[in-house]
Amino acid sequence: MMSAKHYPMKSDIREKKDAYLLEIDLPGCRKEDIKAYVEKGYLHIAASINKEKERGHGKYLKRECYFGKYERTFFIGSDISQDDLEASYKHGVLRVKIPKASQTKMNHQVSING
Amino acid sequence: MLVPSIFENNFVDDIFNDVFSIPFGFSKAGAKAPVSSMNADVQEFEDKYRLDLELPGYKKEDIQAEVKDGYLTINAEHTDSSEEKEDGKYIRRERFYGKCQRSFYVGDNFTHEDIQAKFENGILEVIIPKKEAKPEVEEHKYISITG
Repeated sequence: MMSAKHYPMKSDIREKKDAYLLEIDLPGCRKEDIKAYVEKGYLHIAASINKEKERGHGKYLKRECYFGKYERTFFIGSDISQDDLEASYKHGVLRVKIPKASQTKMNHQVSING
Repeated sequence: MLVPSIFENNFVDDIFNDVFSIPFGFSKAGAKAPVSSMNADVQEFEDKYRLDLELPGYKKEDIQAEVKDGYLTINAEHTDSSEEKEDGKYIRRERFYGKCQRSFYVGDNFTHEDIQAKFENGILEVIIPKKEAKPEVEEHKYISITG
């Protein structure tokens, strides 16, 4: 159900009554550096950090943090569109709320009738 | 004369890595729950050292950094908050949720006032300025001459 490219970020998926909550560890990114989009039923999350720009050109005595591009995709189904998703980035964690498909269909019906 | 590099020989840090590298959940029966440690980058500049620690998901209030006996120790522990405690069952759980700790030897020349720290976007940035070692006061000890 999930595929990983480059460095897969640690993610938690929680199922709530009316939505799925996706929480992804993305430390050190700025909101502008994170790209999230839906394509053919897959939610793509990508982020890149320019560490040298952010942290300067010192001599590294120890290097453990990940350098490079973060990328991961999650299958969410073709019923969900990008507009249905809500995302926030706080404390280095990207939180995406994915409403369950039945909820979005219901919303569309209501808007046509009302 | 500047204080020589202080992060290269942090054998205590290596010991911490060895003891606490047991993956969570695999500790031997009867042992205490292992405390995880966070990834760290250490950079040396002309006038300072910079320490970057990855702490995603923690809030500033969850993190404690202290200097004691020449060691800089960083503790982070998730505190209960309404944001985290949402209803719902976990389908997949990969992120770490709990306490993590790491220590670095910095020497006796520093107090907590010398060290600056900033927490932004899940990264704790600690700046440790390089201090000049105090020159030893030369003492002249004259030998008394008899005769």
